[in-house]
Amino acid sequence: MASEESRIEALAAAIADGKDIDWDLSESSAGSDQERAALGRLHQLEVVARAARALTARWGAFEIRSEIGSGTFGTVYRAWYAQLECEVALKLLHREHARVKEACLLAQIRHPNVVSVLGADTVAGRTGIWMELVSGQTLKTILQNQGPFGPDEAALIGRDLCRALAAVHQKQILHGDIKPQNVMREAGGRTVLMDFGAGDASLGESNDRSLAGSPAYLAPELLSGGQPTVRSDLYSLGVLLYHLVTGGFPVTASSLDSLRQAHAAGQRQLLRDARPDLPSAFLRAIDRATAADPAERPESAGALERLLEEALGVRAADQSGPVAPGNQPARPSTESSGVVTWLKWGAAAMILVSGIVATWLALSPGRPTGAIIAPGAVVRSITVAPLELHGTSAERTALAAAMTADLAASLEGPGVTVKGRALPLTGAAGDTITQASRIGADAVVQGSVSIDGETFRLDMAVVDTQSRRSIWQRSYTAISADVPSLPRVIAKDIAGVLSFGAPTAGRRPPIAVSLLAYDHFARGKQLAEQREPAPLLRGIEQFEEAIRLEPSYAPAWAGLASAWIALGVPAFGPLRPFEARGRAREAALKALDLDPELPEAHTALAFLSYFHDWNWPAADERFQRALRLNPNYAEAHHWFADYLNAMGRFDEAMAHITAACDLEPLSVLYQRDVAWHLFFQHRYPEAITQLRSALSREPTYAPAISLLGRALVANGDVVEGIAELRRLDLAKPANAAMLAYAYAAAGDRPNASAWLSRVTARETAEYVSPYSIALIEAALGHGDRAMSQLTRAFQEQDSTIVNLKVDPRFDALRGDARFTRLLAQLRFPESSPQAGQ
Amino acid sequence: MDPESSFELIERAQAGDESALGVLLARYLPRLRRWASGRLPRYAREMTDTDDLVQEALLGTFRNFDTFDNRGEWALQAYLRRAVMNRIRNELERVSTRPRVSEFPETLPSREPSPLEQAVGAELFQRYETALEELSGAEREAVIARLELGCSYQEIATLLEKPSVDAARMTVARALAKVAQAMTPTP
Repeated sequence: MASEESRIEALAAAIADGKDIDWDLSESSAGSDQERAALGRLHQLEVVARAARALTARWGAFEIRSEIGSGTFGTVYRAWYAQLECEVALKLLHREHARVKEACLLAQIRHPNVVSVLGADTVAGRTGIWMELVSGQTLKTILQNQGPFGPDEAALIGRDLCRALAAVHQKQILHGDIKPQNVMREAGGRTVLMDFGAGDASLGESNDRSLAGSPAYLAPELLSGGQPTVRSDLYSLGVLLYHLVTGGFPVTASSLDSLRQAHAAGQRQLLRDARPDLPSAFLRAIDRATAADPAERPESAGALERLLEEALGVRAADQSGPVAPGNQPARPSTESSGVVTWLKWGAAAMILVSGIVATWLALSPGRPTGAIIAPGAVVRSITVAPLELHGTSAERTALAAAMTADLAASLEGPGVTVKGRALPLTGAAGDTITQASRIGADAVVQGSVSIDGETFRLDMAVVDTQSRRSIWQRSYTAISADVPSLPRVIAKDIAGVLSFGAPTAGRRPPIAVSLLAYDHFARGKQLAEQREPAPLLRGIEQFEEAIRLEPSYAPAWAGLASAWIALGVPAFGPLRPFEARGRAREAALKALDLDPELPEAHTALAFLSYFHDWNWPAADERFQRALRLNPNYAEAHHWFADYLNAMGRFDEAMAHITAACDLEPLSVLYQRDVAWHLFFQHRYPEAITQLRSALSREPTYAPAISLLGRALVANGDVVEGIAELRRLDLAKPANAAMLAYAYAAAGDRPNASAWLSRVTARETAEYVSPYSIALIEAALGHGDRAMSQLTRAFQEQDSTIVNLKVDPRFDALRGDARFTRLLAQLRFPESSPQAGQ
Repeated sequence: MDPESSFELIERAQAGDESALGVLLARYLPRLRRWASGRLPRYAREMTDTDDLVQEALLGTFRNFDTFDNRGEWALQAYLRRAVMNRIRNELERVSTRPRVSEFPETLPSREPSPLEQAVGAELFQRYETALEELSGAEREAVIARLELGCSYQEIATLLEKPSVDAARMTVARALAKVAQAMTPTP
C-alpha cells in the first residue's frame, strides 16, 4: 500500500535523521499485521542506528572521534572542536551536573602543570567539559611498564603536582581525586594534573555526595565523613608519591570498612620499611604528607613543595653533584598503549601534510614478523611450491605463478639456496613435500591464495621436508593494491624466522606497482616461458601493457628483453635475429637504467653481447656480473654455459649448465641443453641418454627431438636419427635443414639435395639461417658452397655462427684457410677446442 | 562549487601534490576513524594506536591506488574501509603475543565483539550485517556512511553523486527501509 510505504519511508528518514521516534504510537496505529511486522523491523534497525550513532556521536559543537577512557562519572573522548580547529579531550558526564560553574573556575587556571580546561556546557541532557588533549602517558601506565620510580623522579613529580595544586587551591577549588590515573607525563616531560571529575566538592560547600576518589588515596578524615580540605588533597598526593616509589600503599585493606578500621588502628606500612634505600629528606616529606592527623600535614601545597625541594637538594649534597631541578628524570619515555596524540589542523595543516608526504614513500604494507616455532633442523635450501588458488577463476593462475616466482626470487640471499623455482602442481600437498625433498630442499614454502573481491588472503606455511612438519605458518590479508609487494614481505618474514641472512632483495628498491600492472607482468612471464612464437608475442604484449601502466617497473622491461631474445633465437623463433636484437637491447638497457642491479637485465645484455654482438669479453664480463648479483639465477647459468661452450671452455660450460639444472631440476629445457653441450664435445651416447630422459618427461618437446635426431646421426644411428627428425614439423625451414643435413651425413645424397632445395625455396618467404645451409653443403662435400654460405652467415649476422669454433659438423673444413680466416674474423679467444673421446 | 573527485585528488597526490593529499585526508580520515572505533574491539585499541593505523592505511592505499572499475566515490569508500580493516587486522596479528602451535590453527582465536556489536547484541548485529548484504554497493555504502561513519547528508550527496542534500537524505531513507525489510524477523 502506498501510504504504508510512505509511512515506512518517513520513519526510515527519521531514523536517518537521528530523530526520536515514538514506537508505541507508530506500532499501535499500524494498519495491518504486515505493517506491524515491518515497523518492528524498522524499530530494530533503529536500535542499531542509535548505537552506531552513539559511537560516532556529535555532542554540541564537538565531533566525537574516539574514546580515551571512562570512569564512574563519565567518559572522556577525543573530539574535534571545529571552532578552534583542533582536537580536544571532551569529558561527557553521565548526568547533568552543576559542574558547569566549577568548570568556569577551572577554566581560569592556566598553569603548566594543570590541564587547561577550555570550556563546559550542557547539551542534550549531558554535561561536558572540554580541555586540552595531552599527549603522553599516565603515571599509572608508566608505573606498570617500568616499575617503581626513584626518589628524585618521584620528588620532581611531587613538586610539579604541588605547584599544580597550589594554583587550583588558590581558586578555592579542591581536586579530590589525585591518583596515578589522573596524572599524565606529557611526551616532553611535563607533569600534568588531569581530571577534576571525581570530586564533587568545592571549598566551602557542603554537598551530599557519595564517596568518590579511590579509597586508598582518601585521607582518613574523609573516610569518616569529614569534609575535603586542602590537606586532604595533600594526603592524596602523598599517597601517590608513596605508591610511585613502592607500588604499594601506606594503608591498605580489602573493603571500605576495614580500611577505616585500619586507619583508626594506625596500621600502616612505613615508607622507610618498604624502601630503606630512600633518602631521609624524601621520607620526611612523604611521611608528613600522609600523616593521619591533618594538622600534622604541611599546611599548603607550597609547604609540601618546599619539603620536596629539600629532598631533591639534600640528595644532591649526598652525591656531591648538582641535581638541577629542571633535569628530566633518567627514565626514558617509552611508547605504550596509553598514548593520546595531539594533532593540530588548520593553520598547521600544510606542515603536517608535508610530514605525511615525507613518510608517504617510506611506508610499506607489510612488516617483519613474528613468532618462531620449533624450527627443528637447520634450513639451508628451500623451495617454493606453486601457490594454490582457492575459489577463483583460472584468470588468476598467472598471478599466482608470478607471486610464486617473486617469492622464490625474494628469498635469495646469503645462507640459503633456493631450488627449483616451480614445482609442478600435483594433487595433494604430500606430493609437493616429497618432490621438494627429492630435489634436495630442506624445507618447502607452501601457500594458498583466496580472493574475495578486492581482498586477497594468503595462508603461508613452511614445511620441513624431512619431518614433514610445519615449522611456520602465517596468514596475510591484503587489498589488491598491496598484493605486488606481498611476496617480498613474506620472503622477509620467512628469512627472519629461519635465520637466513637478510634477503638480497631487501636491498633493492621496493616493488611499488599496481596489481593490474603486476598481473600483466605475470601473464607475460607465463606466456614467454613457452618459447613458442605465438605465446612469446602475446607475452610481449602483456609486458608492454605492464610497462604502459608502470613505466618504471624494471622487471617488466627485463621480461620484455628476454622475450625478444627468445623470439630472435632461431631454435625458438621466426624472426631474423637482428630484428629482435634491437628491441631486446633497448628493453634491457631501460631495465638497467631503472634498476642497475637487476640480474635479469644484466643477463639479457650479456646474452646480446654473446649471441648478437659477438663481443666475447663484454659477454663474459656481464654474465659474471649477473651471477655475482644472484648466484642462484638459473637462466644466467644457462646462457653463460652456452657462451662458454662456444668459446671451447667445455669444463666450465658443463659446470654452469649443471648448476642451472641443479637449480631447476624439473626444467626440460635445461636438461636438453646439457645434451647440447655433450653433443659439441662429441659425447654422443651421453647426449642421447640425456635426451631420452628429457623426452620421457615431455615426449613432444621439439628441441629435444631435433637434437636427439642430430645426435643419433652423429653417433652413426642414422636410420633412427632420421626417423626422429621426421617427427618434427618439417614445414619449418630449420627442421627441414636438420633433416637435409642428416641425409647428407648419412650419405643419402638424393634426399639431402631434395630437402636442401625445399629449404632454399623458403628463403624468400622466411628467414633461413645461412649457417644451417652451410652445414648441409659441408656434409655434401661442397666445400666452396659451404664457405660461401658461412661468409654470408657472417655478413648477415646469423647468430648460429657463434658455434663455429666448436661445431663438430665442420670438422672437415678446419684445414681450409678460408675457414681459419673466418674464425680469426670472429675473434674467438685462443684456446683450442678440447675434443672429447 | 562541486567538491573535487577523490580519484582526481589521488592522481594529483600520486604526482606529488601535497594539498591534494591534505584534502583527501581531511575528507576520509575522520570518518574512517569514527567507523574504526565502532568496529574494532577494545583490545585492539589497547594493543596498538589504531588512529595511526587508519592514517597509515589510507596513505598506503592512496599511494598504491590504481583505478579499478570507476564506480564512484562510494566504491572508493568501501575499498578504503576494507583497506583499513585489513591493515589493522594484520597489525593486531603482528603484535599479538599468543604463542603459536605447530599444527595449522583451525580458525582465528576468539574474536572479541566490536563496541557496536556489544551495544546491540550479537544476534541483532548479525541480522543487520546480513541485511546490509542485500543492498547494492551504493545503497550499502549510503547506510554505513550515515550510521557508522557519521557522514552528513552533504557528504553523502558527494559520495553518491546526488544533486542535493534532500536527494541524499531520500536515498539514505530508502536504503534504510530496504535494510529493515531484509532483516529477518525476530525468532
